[in-house]
Amino acid sequence: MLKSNKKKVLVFVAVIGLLIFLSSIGILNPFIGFSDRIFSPTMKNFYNLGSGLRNSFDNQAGKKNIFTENEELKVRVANLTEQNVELELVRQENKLLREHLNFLGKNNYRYVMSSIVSRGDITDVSDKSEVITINKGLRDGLVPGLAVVSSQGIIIGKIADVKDSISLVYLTNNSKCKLAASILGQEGTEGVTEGDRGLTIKMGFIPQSKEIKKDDIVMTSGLEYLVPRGLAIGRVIEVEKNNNELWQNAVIEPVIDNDSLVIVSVLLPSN
Amino acid sequence: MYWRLLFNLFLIFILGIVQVAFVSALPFWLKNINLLIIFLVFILSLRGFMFGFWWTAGMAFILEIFSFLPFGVYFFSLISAFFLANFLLTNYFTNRSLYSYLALTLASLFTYQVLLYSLNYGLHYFLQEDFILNLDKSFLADKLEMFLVNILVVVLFFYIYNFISKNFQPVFLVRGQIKK
Repeated sequence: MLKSNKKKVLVFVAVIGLLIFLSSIGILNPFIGFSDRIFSPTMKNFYNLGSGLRNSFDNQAGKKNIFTENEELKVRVANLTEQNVELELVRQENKLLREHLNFLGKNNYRYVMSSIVSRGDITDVSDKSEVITINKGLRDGLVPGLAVVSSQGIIIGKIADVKDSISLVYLTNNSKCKLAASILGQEGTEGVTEGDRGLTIKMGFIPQSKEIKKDDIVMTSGLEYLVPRGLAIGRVIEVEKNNNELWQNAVIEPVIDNDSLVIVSVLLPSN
Repeated sequence: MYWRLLFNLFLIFILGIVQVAFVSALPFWLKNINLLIIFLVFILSLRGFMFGFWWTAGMAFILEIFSFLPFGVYFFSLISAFFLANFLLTNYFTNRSLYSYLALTLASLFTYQVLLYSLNYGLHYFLQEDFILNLDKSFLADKLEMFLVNILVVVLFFYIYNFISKNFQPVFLVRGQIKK
């Protein structure tokens, strides 16, 4: 390395050190917020492009398996007919839930709509898209802990961190996203949900006395101040009950594909 | 001079945005592509240390803007990876071989990842927050996949550049044609 280069690098390292110092005391925040706002429309378009590509890949992958699936489905039709009655009940419950929610229109929820501008993070240790970044932040009244929902009113995560114009959202399949939850049709809080390795959601701390069965709908309980009651989290696919344990657990399948999300809404406190 | 500077700033901005917004939304293994490291290695070997250093700083700044980690983490990780690539290139590798590019990219990528995880873990430890890092099969498989994907991209870039430019083509000295 040449001597002049060394000098320039030293100056530059000093500048970076100064930037880090200025950032730590908050002086850089307005500038970073301004940059976020400037870049975010372009980022939104790039993200939409990438997201569109991902969705078309998923569709193609689905088509390849269609013949195999068809054979399997024929066998399953007989079994499903039997389950149909039970599912019809769940459908009615779901309909009722939607009516209860009646999202973004008739409810008194205040909300902020935002676009996803990035996906994944270094903290996303399972590499299964547990984190998204949205283009709304402190300026729009967002604070950590607020619920983030899809257009159908299904909770997809919670705000984990906010900057001036962007926010970090932990999705429900993230182990850091904990939600007080209950079963549809039952009173009070039944347990706490958290992501399980980026794939499913685990509901723990459910008292042994509570009756939970497969296909039950799990929703937010309203115990958390910033997360209203009645937001659908997912459907129970397995119940882990051991009489020696103090609590029982349930494995929940999210009712929405997080990968297909492009626009989300953040629910604000009513006051 | 100023136009060139603006043009480079524009390219840095586009590359940073593509990495943060576009690549992160891609399906399957494609989201593991690290365009920043790949470009830095190419720029370092084709345009020299100082030019590469400015690009590194610019891209680190874009990452810092959209990161929720404390300011400086990406600067430190990316610039350290760049210094390592420069050290290896100056002392051990040629800038005309595909294998050199592969080795440099892998070394830089490895350094970048290790530093990012270490700093993140250290900061979480310091702030007494949870940072769960399961060094299990799944994690290692993901990282292996990331290295393989980036190797493929380097090979692709190398051949594309080789096709449109003569920079990588070997030069032979023919005996008898050198005049004393």
